[in-house]
Amino acid sequence: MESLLNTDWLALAYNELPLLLLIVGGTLVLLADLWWPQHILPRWARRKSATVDVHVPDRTPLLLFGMLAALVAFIACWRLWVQHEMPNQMGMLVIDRFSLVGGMMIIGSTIAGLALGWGYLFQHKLPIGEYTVLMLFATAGAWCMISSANLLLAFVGIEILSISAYVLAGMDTKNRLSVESGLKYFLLGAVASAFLLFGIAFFYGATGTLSLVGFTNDGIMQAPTSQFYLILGTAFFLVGIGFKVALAPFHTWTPDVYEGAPIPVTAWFASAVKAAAFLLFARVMLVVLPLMPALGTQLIAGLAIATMFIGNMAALWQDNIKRLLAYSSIAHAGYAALALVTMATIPEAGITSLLWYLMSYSVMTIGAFAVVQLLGRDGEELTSVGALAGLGERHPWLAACLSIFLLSLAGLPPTVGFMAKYYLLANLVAAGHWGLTIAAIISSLISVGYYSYPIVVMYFRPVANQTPHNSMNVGVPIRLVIFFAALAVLVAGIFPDRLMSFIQNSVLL
Amino acid sequence: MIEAYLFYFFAVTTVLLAVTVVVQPNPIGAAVSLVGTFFSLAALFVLLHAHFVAIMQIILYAGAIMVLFIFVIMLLNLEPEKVKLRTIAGNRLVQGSAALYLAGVIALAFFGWRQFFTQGVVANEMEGTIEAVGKLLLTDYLVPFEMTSVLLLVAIIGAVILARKPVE
Repeated sequence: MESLLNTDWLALAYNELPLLLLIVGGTLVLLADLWWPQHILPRWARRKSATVDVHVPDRTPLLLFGMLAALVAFIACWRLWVQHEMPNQMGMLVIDRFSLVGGMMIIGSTIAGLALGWGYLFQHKLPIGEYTVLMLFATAGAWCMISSANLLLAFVGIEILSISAYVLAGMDTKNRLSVESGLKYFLLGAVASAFLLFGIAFFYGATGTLSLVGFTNDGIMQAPTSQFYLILGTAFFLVGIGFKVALAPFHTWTPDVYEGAPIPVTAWFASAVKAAAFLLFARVMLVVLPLMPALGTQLIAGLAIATMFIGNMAALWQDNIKRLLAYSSIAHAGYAALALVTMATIPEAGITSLLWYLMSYSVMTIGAFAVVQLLGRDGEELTSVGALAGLGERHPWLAACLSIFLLSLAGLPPTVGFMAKYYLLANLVAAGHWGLTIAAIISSLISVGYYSYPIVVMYFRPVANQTPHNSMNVGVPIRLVIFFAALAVLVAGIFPDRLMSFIQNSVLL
Repeated sequence: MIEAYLFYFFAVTTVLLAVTVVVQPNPIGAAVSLVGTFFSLAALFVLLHAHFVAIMQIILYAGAIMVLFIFVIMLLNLEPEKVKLRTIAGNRLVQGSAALYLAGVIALAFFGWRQFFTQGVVANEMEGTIEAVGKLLLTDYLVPFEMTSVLLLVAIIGAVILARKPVE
């Protein structure tokens, strides 16, 4: 009984307010979905659409409630960020600025993901309530991953995130591709989870603890067998987490899953899921790398190089824009892994560049997917790059936004993508990895080839007597997402100082 | 001393039954062997004074999960010949890597062999009993415990979404 009372539960609840808000919000949405009235709006206010049966109740307001819950959680994160200058550990959860910035990033991606579902889900007859619930719960899982001081809790978080992700990918049960992507993701993801768990078990065997804080405290590490088990654990862990973030030999699921999943879900995969997995990766490597700096750095560097080149080379041959963006997301995982390499020598700068990179990548990839989604016709997603022909004339603003996102993904100034790559490479040079820097620049140059392809098609390819269609997915939220993403890409690209100092203030080791 | 003999007996039984699971052509036979594996694993947990885990092993794995397995096998009505057809074609690579993996595990076992004999395993008498596990779950491990319930909720929602008829 004593130890029960020893913990200050109120303080824990206060410090974990974002987590609680996400879970409570998700549960409320679940209940509201159950008791949703047949017709909440009067007849004249109901959505008018030719393809949709008006008798199906429109549950879109649930998305709004989900966004509200996420927004409150975001504000709570911000408040905690202001209050916590020093890291604070409570039980298995650690509250520091690193995890709070990560939390803000992921919750922001979730808000965007929910906004993208507006209109789209109703048109495609997808369950709106469950979509909202799963996204909120998955974000709670991501929170457990990034703010966990214990590998046990981190694994529970990974599983919450992954299981929600499998279901979201396969949610469109009428679409064969979506079901295929859900099943593929599930089967391969289960194997990856097994590897991850095996790695964690070996870590436990090597150090005698699952706590990331007490990892190095004991003299256990001096024993040669512990070193051996630690290397084994790291290898298994790299396989598992490499799958989750799509590093090269374990990336093969990415194009199929990203192509099959509904576009709002894909955008969320590329931003929130990837960022959460990378932040956990960083947290574990922060403890493991000092124990085996040379070998660990070489392993991650090898994976990063393979990922960059495979992702960028494969993307050159893609004609499906979702697959193109999927391969681009693989390549970007490679660049972000380079930030982990620098962590062995200059940990603070390495984490800063990782956060900076993930943040900018999330914004630009969500923007790019949002434009692609907006261009879909009623009930049909836009898939081939060729269908973009003539977009520069038909929708000049959308074409401009898509060009901005693609240029940012390619890493050209004056966008945030350039700034992120610049800091990353500068740190890489500061850490003395010249070879890696040159490899990153070369693969970046290759990537310009396929990022410029849709731009060329949009502006210079003549429209091949296509029936012009004006019936775009109308929706204010998706336009807002595109607008804010484009604004963020340009503003943070031209004036990066404020955001940079914000991130630097967040990394206190 | 008796504990050591019991350990060897159950360890050998576990491995033999596990091998039976793999080589058994009849799926029902394989499933029953798997039940036996779970029971002897449970006995190993008892020897480590982890009574709670042992009981859970029997109730959950040998009980609930295996019943589901056997249900599915009987529903699909797989005959041995059909099962053979369903194996992956061109599986040299898979077999090779599995063999390599097995060799690695055995090598690891030999690696830890000497250590095992010199030190032995001294289990804490209290550890792993129901009382100790319950106390830990509601104090130190409260957050993971609660998050596991979220995990189960997510899994239920997911199963319902994927299994129900598409909305028309």
